[in-house]
Amino acid sequence: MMIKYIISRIMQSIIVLIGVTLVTFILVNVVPGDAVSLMLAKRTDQATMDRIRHELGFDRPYTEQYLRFLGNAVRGDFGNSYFEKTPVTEMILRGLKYTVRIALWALLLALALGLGAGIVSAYFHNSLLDRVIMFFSTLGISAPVFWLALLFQIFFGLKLKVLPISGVDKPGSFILPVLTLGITNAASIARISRTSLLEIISQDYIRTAKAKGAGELRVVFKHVLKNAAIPIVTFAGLVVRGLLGGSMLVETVFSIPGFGSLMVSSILTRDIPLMQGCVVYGATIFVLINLLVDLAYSALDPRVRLVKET
Amino acid sequence: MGSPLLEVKNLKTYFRTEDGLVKAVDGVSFSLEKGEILGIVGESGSGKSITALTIMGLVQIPPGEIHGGEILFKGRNILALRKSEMRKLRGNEIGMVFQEPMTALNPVYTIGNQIAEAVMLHSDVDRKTAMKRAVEMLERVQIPMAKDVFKRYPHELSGGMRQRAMIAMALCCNPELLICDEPTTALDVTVQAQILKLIDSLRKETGMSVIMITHDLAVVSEIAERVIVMYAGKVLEEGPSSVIFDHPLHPYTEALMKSKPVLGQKKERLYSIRGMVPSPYNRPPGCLFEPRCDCSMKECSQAEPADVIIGNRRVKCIKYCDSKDGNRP
Amino acid sequence: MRFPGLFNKKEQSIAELKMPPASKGFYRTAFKRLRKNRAAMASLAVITILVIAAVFAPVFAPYDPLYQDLDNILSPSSPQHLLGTDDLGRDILSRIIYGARVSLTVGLVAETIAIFLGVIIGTVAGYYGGKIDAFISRVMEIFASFPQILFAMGIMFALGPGIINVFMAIGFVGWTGVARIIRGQIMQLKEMEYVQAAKVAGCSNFRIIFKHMIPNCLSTIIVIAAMNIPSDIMVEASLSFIGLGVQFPNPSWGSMVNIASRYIRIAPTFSIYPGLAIIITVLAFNTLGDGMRDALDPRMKSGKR
Repeated sequence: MMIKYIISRIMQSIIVLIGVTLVTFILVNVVPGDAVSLMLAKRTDQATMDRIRHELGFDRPYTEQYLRFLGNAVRGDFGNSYFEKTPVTEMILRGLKYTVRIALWALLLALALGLGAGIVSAYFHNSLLDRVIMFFSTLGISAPVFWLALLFQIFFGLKLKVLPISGVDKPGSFILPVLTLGITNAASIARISRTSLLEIISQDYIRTAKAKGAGELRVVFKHVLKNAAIPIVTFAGLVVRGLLGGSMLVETVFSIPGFGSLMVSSILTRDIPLMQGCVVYGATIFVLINLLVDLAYSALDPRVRLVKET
Repeated sequence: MGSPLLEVKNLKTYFRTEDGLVKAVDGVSFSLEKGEILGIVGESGSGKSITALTIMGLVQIPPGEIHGGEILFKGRNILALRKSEMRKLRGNEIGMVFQEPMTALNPVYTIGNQIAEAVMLHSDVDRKTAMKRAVEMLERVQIPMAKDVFKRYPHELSGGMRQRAMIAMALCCNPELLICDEPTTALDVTVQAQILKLIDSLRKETGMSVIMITHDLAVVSEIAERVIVMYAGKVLEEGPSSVIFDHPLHPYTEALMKSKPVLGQKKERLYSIRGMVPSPYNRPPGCLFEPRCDCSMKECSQAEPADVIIGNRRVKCIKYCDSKDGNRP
Repeated sequence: MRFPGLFNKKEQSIAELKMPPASKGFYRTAFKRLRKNRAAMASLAVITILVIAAVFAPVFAPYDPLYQDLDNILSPSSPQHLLGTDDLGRDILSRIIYGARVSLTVGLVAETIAIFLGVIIGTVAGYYGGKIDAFISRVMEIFASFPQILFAMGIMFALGPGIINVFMAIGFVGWTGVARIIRGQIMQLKEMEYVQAAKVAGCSNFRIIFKHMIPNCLSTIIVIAAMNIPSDIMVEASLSFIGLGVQFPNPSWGSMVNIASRYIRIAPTFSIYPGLAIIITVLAFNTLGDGMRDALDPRMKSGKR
């Protein structure tokens, strides 16, 4: 039963990934004018442009182009970056080293801070403490990540001069990026965990547990938390997506040569091979995380059907 | 008759809400002998479930508040107990079965786990013994293949099976009092009868007392020995079930009986009580049923009628206050 | 304080199902509940001020947002320039006031596009089910596999920068979330007795959808819109910060922070003000959105960000 579910989820993920390559391909090819002239911003003559177009295969029929792109993508081959002349995959893997490190620490920080705040808020709900926590959480989700990053740079880097504000080689250079990403995501985790905890506390089976004579701690740790974990795990998947998006902004501010800034620069410089690679790699990571989340979900919740209905 | 197992005296449970004070239970009194089955009947919102939750100490405070009264369980006022003492009572000496077995069982734990938890909470046994006890309990509530059901999750069982499991959970510590809050409402009619029969036979076996809360008159007349009728937080009538429905005293009880379809009797039209239950925020000053009563008099809306004792029955209606001093209990 | 959900749960939910939520009384009580929420009302006041400032920007702004005071470049706040000037000597306060126009229109227009697409696609998926639903669901899943901002960037890449394109990008990104919720709700409504009855009575699908189902989703749609507008404003600010949004020299809060980020050593306050404008606006919309959700549908989960 479980295995059948896992297989169907994996099949779904593959279909989604194929869809992602298709969307990427269409995005590049619906560019008004055409991709190559846009990429070079008409800086060269017609002959060079034709040559490049031929090199990148843009003169072939769309279906052939797509199938080739798909075939190469499956092998992890996205060609060379147009400007750096290095294989795209190599660049991305180099960038991911930094991004994954920052994202993991930020996720850890966000979960610890967010869950802690959410549990406290739900436990003391409607109290002053709850209101203060919720105000700061709402403030946290309302603060632009890039602006928070700048504030940290100004405060910790320029005023206090305790932390480096850019680059990756100085000691402690990851602290500010992790802090920025961690805090903003902790805010949304705090909000969602408070909501789901409050909802579960009002369920009938919590009353049953109390009717059995279970103490408060037992009710919370045995009956509330496991049920609350279900929506929170689902939400953690969204947080990871947020981290990926946030890393683009944070890495730009802190000049970290990670996956996020690679993605930004590929779009800004119109480096098509690099952009395609970034999108497909990014989506693959995300689809894998979704898959993991769903599997964790079905392990937590015995009610998950064989095939998801909604 | 010795001293009763449970005595509720003038219990008042109120809720403070944004829109005002809700007197969910407003001066309810009754008593329950050992081994007796008491039925509490009333429409939804009459306060019967809140009465039960107050006895269990499960009313959330705030917004709820116990405004007064006493609940004597084996002579002890359990409203005065400390939290930890109350916890020892709950699930151990008083068990409770809830209405909706689907939502009342924790969806992420197996049936066996949840019953074993109840066992371990109140006795000093290890996991293995508790699990053995849980399987025994499942067998006692006549669940076939108890060992298999033990390992199942609530959503894998039928409604009737879930309710049996609920009962097993409530009884695993041999409570002296079992409170059933609409135990059959969510079930199919055929299953309803089985569950009622089960509760009755378990009572005979163990000698426990049962409070059966329901809005279904058929359920009460089938199982209960004595009945109290609640309306808008008050007890309007009390008496043996053998007579109360055939010869109701209070116009409300009478109206309830008239609005019940009777098998084999062809009526032109089913009686329905006119009007609605008075808003909990704005209760009339006199008899609460007066606005809907077919035989209301001028005096009804002036002051709340006193309880009148007639033999082994009790009724709260001005019709029976033969003199101005009434017959206060 | 809410009434305890500890009793009467069943009766409550049944009462809710029976009550057609589109009735006027439903919205009146919801509005009454909203009016009691002080934080939401304060946010509404802030938003009103923002809207007035944006509409009458020429009246409130002390300078033209493009006017360059070349004697005062990157100056701190002074009586002349309350919040100082930027790298080209333009008045920051004036640019922030004009910037409100961009943020507010993005919130409005982009969300309208997202709601329009989301409601139609979600309704079709939920109502017709089967293969159409499976296809749309897969497409939604594909869209949901990108971080929102990346996808918006991709569209901006394809369309080129510009404010209209920002609307399109954010709207196209936002529809999936709307469609998913509406699809779920339509699937529930489809099983409702009154919809079944309309079907039996021979109503056309079109009539059932527009007369019986979409009006019943209205409160959900309002809540979604209220919750999504702040994140749309945020996406625009982020796009403009990266340099893919509203283009020079038009004032946008995001691009102002971007320019300011180059001068944090010489003019640290420059970056603070436009960021404050973003945080105040987004906070006001978020708080109002929370209030509207609580007022219209206390049970709806906040699944944002």
